[in-house]
Amino acid sequence: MVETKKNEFRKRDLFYLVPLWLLSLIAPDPYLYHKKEFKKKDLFYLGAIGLAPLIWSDPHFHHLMVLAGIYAILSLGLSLFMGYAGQISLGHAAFFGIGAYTTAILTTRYGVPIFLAFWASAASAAAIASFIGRPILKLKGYFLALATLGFGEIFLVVLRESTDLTGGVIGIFGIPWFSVMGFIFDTYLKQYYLTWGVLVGLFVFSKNLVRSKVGRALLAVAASEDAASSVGINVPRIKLEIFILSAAYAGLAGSLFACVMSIANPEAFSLGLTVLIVMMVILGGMGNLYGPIAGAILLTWLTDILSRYQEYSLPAYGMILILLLIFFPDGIGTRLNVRVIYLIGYWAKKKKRDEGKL
Amino acid sequence: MKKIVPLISVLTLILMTWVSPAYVAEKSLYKIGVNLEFTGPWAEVTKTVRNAMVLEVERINKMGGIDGHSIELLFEDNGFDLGRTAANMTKFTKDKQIIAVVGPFEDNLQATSRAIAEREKITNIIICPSNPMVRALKQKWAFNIAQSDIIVSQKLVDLSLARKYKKVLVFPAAIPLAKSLAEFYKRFGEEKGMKIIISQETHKPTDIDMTPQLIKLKPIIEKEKIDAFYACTAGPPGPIICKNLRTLGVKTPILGTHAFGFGFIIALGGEAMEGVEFGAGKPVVPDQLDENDPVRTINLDFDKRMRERDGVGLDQIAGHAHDTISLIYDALKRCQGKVTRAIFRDALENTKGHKNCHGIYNYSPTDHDGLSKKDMVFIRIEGGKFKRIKFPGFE
Repeated sequence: MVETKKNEFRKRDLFYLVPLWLLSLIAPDPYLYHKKEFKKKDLFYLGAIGLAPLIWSDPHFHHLMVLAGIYAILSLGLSLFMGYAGQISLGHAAFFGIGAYTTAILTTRYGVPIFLAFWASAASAAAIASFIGRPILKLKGYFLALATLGFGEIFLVVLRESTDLTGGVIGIFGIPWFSVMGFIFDTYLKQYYLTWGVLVGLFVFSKNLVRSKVGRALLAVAASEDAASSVGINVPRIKLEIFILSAAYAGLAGSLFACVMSIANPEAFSLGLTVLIVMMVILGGMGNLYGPIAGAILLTWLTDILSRYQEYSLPAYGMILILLLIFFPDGIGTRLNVRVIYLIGYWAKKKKRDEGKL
Repeated sequence: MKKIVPLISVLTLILMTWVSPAYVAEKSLYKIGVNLEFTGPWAEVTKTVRNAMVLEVERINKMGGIDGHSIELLFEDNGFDLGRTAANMTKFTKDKQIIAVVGPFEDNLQATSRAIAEREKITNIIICPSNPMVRALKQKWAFNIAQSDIIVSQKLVDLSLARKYKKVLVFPAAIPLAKSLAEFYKRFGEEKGMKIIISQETHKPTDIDMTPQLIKLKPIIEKEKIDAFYACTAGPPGPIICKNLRTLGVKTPILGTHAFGFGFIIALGGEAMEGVEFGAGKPVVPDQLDENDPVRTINLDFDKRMRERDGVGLDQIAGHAHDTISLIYDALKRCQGKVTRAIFRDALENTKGHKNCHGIYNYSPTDHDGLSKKDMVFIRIEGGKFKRIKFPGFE
């Protein structure tokens, strides 16, 4: 009897350990690992990013990963604002659009080199965030969400009506490829390394930021603004700074998007995009820098895979999102191991539970 | 014995597969990618496109395909989204068996798909009238099935002149297609001495009630003594505008775009659609085409087949879908040797005098537009049906 129980225990142990070991390779848990492991896993990711397009060497993979990378930059910025500072923004598609249109206008109308336009996109998004951030960040919770939502809608109206500058609803076509000192990123493979290079750079910067004094201040603000204020943190200033930074990320992402798509059009920056980005952050896991990237990759591939189901793609997409939110309420990039242990344990013990033994 | 029975079964199965007629006869497929908005505001329209394309492909395949090669359609939904449209294009270019991609609809999506087609060297067939600016972007690998916005607008100006409309108020949708149609209508109308007012009020393809905008336009209609109201839109907003306008008591004649020639438009708008006039393709009125019209038989035949299978008749967009497949079939037949993307493109570019639902197609290295103004007819909605109208000197 004792022997049987031991065997069962061993089998179950193996059953848990194999998938957990595999998952630990691809999805680290920021709360559990030590600093040393952290570096090792980051190196693993960096290697994977570098090698993946060479292993799966087809334009579709490269292109989808370029899109995923652009969305990941956008959601990384939003994650700093939502996940770390605990604020809500439903207007990040507008900053994305500001970045795209800055690049489009500067390159097609004024012949500015794309490399300069890229940085100008971040600067313009940051400048506008600074301008609108001061009044609207005084709001909290739902009111802040509504204010940012309103900003996104106003931005769309401005785009549609400023026909001379933005091309109105038709938009701007013929945006050149990204290039630096004569090197043109004219293939999806080159664009992949460009996008993911920018993402890695921003990721490293973000990681240092969240571990710095500013990062800790952000976490304090997210926990309680009053408490943070009482320990000497300048809450309005820190909120504004992170809002500007997050908008600058969106501006950079927008600039890359315009170069890859060769078009800037109001429809691309509507509420639908905002919802998608927020979903990427929530599904990926807030308060975690890996989460938004995982969320961006997941949702980009999911929509692509579901496209073949035509009119059924939308209901299927909705169902999958609901299931993910039910089974991974903290996001797929946050405490994944804990969730997987629970889920595997749940199914493993199902029979016994049904028999009333548990 | 236990081992022999499964062994014999497996061998029999392999033998049956090997000698099966399908295995012997089947040649490689000619695959066509279809990148359309199956979800979003154009979902209803794209369903018609899909049904019509499938119907035509089934007919071709039943006839033995092209020298034994069947055509296969691969559908992907782009969700009315720029990123997904581009992703679908790259997915199609990845599969080397796919020789051409059909779609998307929207101008902004077209701009991206045309750019990808040009870079990846794959034919991109566009089935919606589009902005000349978009068409001018990349032409080598992109082919247009429908007329450009310029031709569609010229046809509507002809209709307006025939009706002696001097002042027309345009209510455009906030989409590139409508914006471009409104601007060209204004340009050509004013050249002919008409006064065209483009409303500052607009609407989205997803709007379900345009009463607020129309209330603001009603005083302009009355004050300016507008002769006709141009509902410059596509999809469901067309009938909604007509309904809202009539509910507000405005009796002004309504002009529509070619997109009013879609089958579901009358059903959606009901009585409010009575008297609406527009210029559209010949498939909208297949049974009312002239007896000597070279495309009458094609239209009647396809209309009959559509009614038998789907229970709905031929319309503007179903005609485009038919023409797309028919042009692909014709080009494939003319391809010599192994069909590659480049050979197919060249064959399509050499299309000359090919009769189809919408008209007679001619492509050349300098013209990828195919159709002209003479391939359009004037339509009036009367008694819940599309009725062809003629005006001496304008047809």
